[in-house]
Amino acid sequence: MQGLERPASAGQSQGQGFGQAQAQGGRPEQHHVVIEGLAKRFGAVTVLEGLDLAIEKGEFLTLLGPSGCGKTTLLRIIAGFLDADAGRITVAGETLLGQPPHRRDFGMVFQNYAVFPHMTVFDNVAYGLRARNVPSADIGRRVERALERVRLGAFASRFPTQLSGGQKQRVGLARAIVIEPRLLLMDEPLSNLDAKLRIDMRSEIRLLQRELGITTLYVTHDQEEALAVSDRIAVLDKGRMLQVGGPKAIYDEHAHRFVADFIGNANQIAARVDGGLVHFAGGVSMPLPGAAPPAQPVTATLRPEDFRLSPSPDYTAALPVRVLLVSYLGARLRLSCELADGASLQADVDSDAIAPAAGETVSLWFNPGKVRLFSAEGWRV
Amino acid sequence: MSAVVSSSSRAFDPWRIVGIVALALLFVFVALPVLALLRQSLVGQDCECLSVENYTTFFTSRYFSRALFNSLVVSTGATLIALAIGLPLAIVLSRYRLKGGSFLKIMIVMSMLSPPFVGAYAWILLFGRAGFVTQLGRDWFGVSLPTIYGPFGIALASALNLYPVVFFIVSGALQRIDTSLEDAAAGLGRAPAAVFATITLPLVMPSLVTSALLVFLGTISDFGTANILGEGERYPVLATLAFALYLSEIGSEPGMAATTSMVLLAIALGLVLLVRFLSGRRSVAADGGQPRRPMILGGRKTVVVTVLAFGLVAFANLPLFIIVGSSFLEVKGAVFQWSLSLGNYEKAYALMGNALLNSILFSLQALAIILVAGAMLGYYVSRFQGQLPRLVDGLVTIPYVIPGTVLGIGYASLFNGPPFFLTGTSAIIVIVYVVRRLPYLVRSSSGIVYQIDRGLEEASQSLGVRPMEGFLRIMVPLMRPGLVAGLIIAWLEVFNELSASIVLYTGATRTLPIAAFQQAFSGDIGIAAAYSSIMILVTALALLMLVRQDGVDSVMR
Repeated sequence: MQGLERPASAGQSQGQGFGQAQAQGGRPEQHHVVIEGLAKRFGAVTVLEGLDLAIEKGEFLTLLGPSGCGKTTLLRIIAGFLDADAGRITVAGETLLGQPPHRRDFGMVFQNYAVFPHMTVFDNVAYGLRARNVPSADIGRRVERALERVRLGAFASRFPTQLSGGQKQRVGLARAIVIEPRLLLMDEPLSNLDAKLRIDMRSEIRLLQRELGITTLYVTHDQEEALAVSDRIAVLDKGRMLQVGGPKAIYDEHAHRFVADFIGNANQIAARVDGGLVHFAGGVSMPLPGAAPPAQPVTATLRPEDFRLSPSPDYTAALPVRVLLVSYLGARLRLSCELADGASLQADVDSDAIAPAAGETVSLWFNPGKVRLFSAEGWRV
Repeated sequence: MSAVVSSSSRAFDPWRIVGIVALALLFVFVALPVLALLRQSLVGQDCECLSVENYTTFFTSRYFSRALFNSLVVSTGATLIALAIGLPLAIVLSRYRLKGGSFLKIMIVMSMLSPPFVGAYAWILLFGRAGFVTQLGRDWFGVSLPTIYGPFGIALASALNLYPVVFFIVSGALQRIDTSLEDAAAGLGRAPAAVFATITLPLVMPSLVTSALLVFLGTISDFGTANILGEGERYPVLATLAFALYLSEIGSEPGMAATTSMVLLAIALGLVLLVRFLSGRRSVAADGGQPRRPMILGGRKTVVVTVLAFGLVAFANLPLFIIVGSSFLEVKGAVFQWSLSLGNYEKAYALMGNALLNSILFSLQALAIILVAGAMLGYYVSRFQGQLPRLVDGLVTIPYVIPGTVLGIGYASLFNGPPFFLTGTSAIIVIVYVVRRLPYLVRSSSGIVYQIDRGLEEASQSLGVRPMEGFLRIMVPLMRPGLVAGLIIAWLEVFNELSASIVLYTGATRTLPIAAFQQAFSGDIGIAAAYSSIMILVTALALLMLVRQDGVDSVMR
């Protein structure tokens, strides 16, 4: 499992996910799904490079990353719609080698629903059961129960054209869970729905998943969605697994600069570590939050909400900035600022605070314990 | 316990077998005949050696180059006339709501009902030497009308049969235009005419060019019209020349039929490639957006536009009425009399033999094959990537541009001997029908496959259904509109096929179009009218059955 032998910090954060069994260890049989060394290239483009991942039974694991990071490719390889160039996948100790999609017994929910337009809601949900030669009395019962679960009990005889997007996706969900799959794959299932519905449905999906205990692999590019529904999140970028961990670990203890940027839009501030101090451009320094790493140039990250306009017992360090623009966002004021070295920085401060004027130079105070430092390669130092 | 996932370990793929079988069949029935003609055309007159002698003869002899010139003149003329009819009709019918608009569309479909040579024959009945109108002019007014024989007549008859192609393709494009583009231009201060010229026309230009190309190809490869209105050798074009040379090949100059065929094929292929090159770079296809709702015109304008549109279409349908009407007239000494009679049908029935039965049997067999193969190959070439699907796609499309006479001559010379021995059998007629019209169904079904979300099949597979079963249960029902549309066009073309079957038929495999053509060319005008009427009737009946299934709109698409 070479991915876990990445820089130590990546491995560290791995174990922090809500007490989930850790993905390390040489006994893959214990995990429900084990992915090892998975690689995929499309022509000259490497989409996945030697990816490792383990999913526990009953777990809700989310693949999170920007478009083009390889998350959908990974999902499609697991589903069997794509072949990997190298690597292995086992489910419950059984290899997926050469198994076509229809023999894998995975449920799949699609971004654009993929509800069969020429079949009623009932027939859509019954489709997979009929392929399994389930007796027709059982089919009726199971389809009904699945439709009840997604609150579509009254819609069994409708055709998909008479349904809204959210209802279609519920049909897709019912169709996937009714076969009681070994693994439920969801490919950005909510991204075609409007914002409000997306939030309702993601809780619905999460509740259903917990109730049924279906092992679920969920793909999204929406970090808030990922944080809200997952047991663990795997962050992908450019075909590499940057961090796997629980939502809190992913949010607070980024293993990689990219994770800090992608989750919560952290400001990236050029700095240098030397002699137990962090030196920011413009002559400000602060003591290091943890053990002192060797002297090197680093990137420090701080979220916009980590700043205040005045010091307090925790907020003991400050960066001088020039305010370029002040935007009112309701509860917060967003200050668009410029650092001494010309880099830009966003800070969200209490809108009750006395707002600085554009062009003014102010000190932005922060808690040094919130600062995360990353090496030139991007990994945590 | 676990092993490397790789494609080589995949279970066997039934679609790969489909691809390989299709490739093998297409190679034998498309590539080989063309290659055989090419080989024949490159053999010298006096030796069994490789030589371009035939081509030198072709381009230096006035006899051959006149046919080439005539072909180009006639096809260009037909294209221009078809555009002049089809384009205004498409604009009017997609932009304005006319009374009887759907009836007009049905009449436009009817213009395609008969093969072009039947139209040609009808024009002769009207304007020929002994035509109704000609006689009327001469006997009553002392005027001699301009002749219908020759280039103008051929171009007109072809155009009146082919303008629906322009109409349907351009209508489709007009309906797909995102109306917000036109609204934006109007909002920027352009008058309606200027909006049309600067926005609408450029957007439909690719479709316009495509339809023009189809009319040109249809005319240049049509054998029947040119033969009837050009009176065979008097106004030779490439298609009639190739046929005449093929019939007289035994004696004079072997290889010249093949050479003429290759020139005809080169023109067709060259044009297709040229159009593809010109329109390939800038795709302006705009899917999505609001479909335009037809406008209601003001009072007087509606009347004018409606009368013009109906007038135009009625004129194009004139041959249909002339043929059917005259088939019920008595014939004495090769002249129609003004008295009703079923005599033509009695004579026609006596002489028909197996022609009608053959036509129906061969067409049904061919259509069954076309439907199954077209659905599978349309799916195969649009869903699969790689060399094999691309090769199959290319080979299946080529017959689209091979003039029927050329394909017929190729078949006749290739399948005559071992190991095929197909000449004279009904199989060769069915095969040539299939090969010529399969492209319609492959195109229409692949067109619809592109519109069907790939996720549906993946959903089916993830639910545990085998790919082939998923194809039948998910794809086939969803492809149905495309299949029906393709089937309708294929039926029109197969039942009326003349160009290739006239080269390949024998006494036992004579079809109705061949019988009608022979009577129209050099036989009894009454029997010709009766045969043609039967053809029109059978075509129309079959069409009605199909349209009843899916509504007129599936034909429009």
